[in-house]
Amino acid sequence: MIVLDIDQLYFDEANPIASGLKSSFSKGHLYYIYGRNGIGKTTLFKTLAGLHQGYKGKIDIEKIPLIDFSPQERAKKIAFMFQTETVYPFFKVHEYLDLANIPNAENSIKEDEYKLFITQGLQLEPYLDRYLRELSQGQFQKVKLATCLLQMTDYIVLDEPFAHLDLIQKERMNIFIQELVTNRNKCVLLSTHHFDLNFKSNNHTLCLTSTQLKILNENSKERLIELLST
Amino acid sequence: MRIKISHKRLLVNLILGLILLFCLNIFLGSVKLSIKEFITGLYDTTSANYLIIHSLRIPKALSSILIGVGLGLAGFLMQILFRNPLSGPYVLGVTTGGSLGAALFILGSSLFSIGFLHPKYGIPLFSSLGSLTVLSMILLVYKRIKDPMTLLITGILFSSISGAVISILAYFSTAERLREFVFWSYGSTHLMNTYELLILTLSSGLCLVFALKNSKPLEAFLAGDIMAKTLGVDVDKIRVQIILFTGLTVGVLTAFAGPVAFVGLVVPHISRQILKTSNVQLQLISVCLIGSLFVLASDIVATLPSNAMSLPLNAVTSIIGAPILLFIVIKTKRFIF
Repeated sequence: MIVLDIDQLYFDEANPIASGLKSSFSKGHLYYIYGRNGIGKTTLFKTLAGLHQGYKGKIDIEKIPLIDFSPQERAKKIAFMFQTETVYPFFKVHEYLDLANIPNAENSIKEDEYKLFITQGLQLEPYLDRYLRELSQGQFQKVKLATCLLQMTDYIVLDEPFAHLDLIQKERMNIFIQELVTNRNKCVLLSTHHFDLNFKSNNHTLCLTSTQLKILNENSKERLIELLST
Repeated sequence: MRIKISHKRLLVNLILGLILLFCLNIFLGSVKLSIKEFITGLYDTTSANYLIIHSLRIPKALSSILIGVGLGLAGFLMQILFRNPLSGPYVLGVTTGGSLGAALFILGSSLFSIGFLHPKYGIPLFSSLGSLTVLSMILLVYKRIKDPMTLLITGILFSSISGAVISILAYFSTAERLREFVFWSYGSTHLMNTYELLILTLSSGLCLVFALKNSKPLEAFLAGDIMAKTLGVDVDKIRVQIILFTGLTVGVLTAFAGPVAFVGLVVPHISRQILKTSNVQLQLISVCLIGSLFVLASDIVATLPSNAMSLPLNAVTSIIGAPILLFIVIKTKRFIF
């Protein structure tokens, strides 16, 4: 379980982004996190992934403070899919996917099975031998998601994974993530702006505002819009 | 490491080219040899040419290879560190720091009473000290401001300051000393003894071992800083190590061979264009081979014009390197990184 208890989230202490963020995230559950543009979703996700230290408070992963993890140990626990960075153009898709092995150099056969499950599930097989620069943004989005999942962590943080995807791909990817959470007991936090997602009993809706990370008891679009408007 | 057949073929061709250029480099020189004289000179200790080949030409060819390997590696690692295709061994200011050290010894010897040291030892010593000083300052700056772009600008600033001090020293120097410094700054593969070759081998070898050992984290770097951090790479630690290893390699090379231009900049670009891969291990091998080929070829061109003299290596590497880089830019329509 991840326990989040952040008093203040900031870039520098004079400019706080959000405060009073308290929540916990368990394995076997999927959390959709909504929030207005610029409210700090990406910063919160980077903080959870250990890439941003600008906060007061604490984050524990399975009762161990996040700051006590070495970079490599942290990468074995939590994976982060981020929004696009410029990528070296000579990466082939299969080479980019192989990067996920870096934290777990000792991975064996299990990894190959899992890799097949992910690449088939996300329908990446037709373009495994293509360069990243030859892919559309939507295809690249799926490659990034696959690399993140192949890191084989229990906790997964996905920053707007449905960006650039068409309606069908978005729904497929959502269902794939839901199945992964249920069948492989993963804990996934996912930021999105889409309201029309298929929803299951182990899914939760959260809304990030500058003063709270509010869990909505029911998947109510009206309540979410109300919170986003405040 | 799995290597594609096309890549294997390419590496074999590069190795064959290296052997060919190595032999050609030994064969050509101010004393013209026939093929028969060359072959007997290789093994016959009683031959008059044995000494020329073994004491002068083989060490010269070996130093060309080591300069190519060291500068190629340094350029490759710098371009990864800064994610900037125009980065090279020069950008950190370590080369200019080495030049400043050499200038202090050659041009400032009359001012600072350091003339008791023989130039053969004094120039490398002062050049190494100059490079190490700049390197230490860069590491101190990086420790405070952990940003590659700031580091790049800091390197340029150090280069400017070093260049300015060299100009002042040159202004007050005698014509003879100035000539000596200008000749040193041309860069050279000549007159290296076994001891000096050993130091070059050690510095370039250490840089290669470091890079090979960290090939996976370096691949993560190619995918960007956030990706590298997400994958558990200790980005700051690797950056400091890259600065340290490339700085030391470039410092040692500058100390013994003078500043050699363009190699570190152009070699990684050629390697990227012909391999088109993200496999860092493969790129490292190719950078070493292409770097060696580039400096061996430049050294051959430098010795071609006349029996009595050779062209400055620095000028030849630029004359060969610049059109290659231009060709790459025209072909790809941009610098690829």
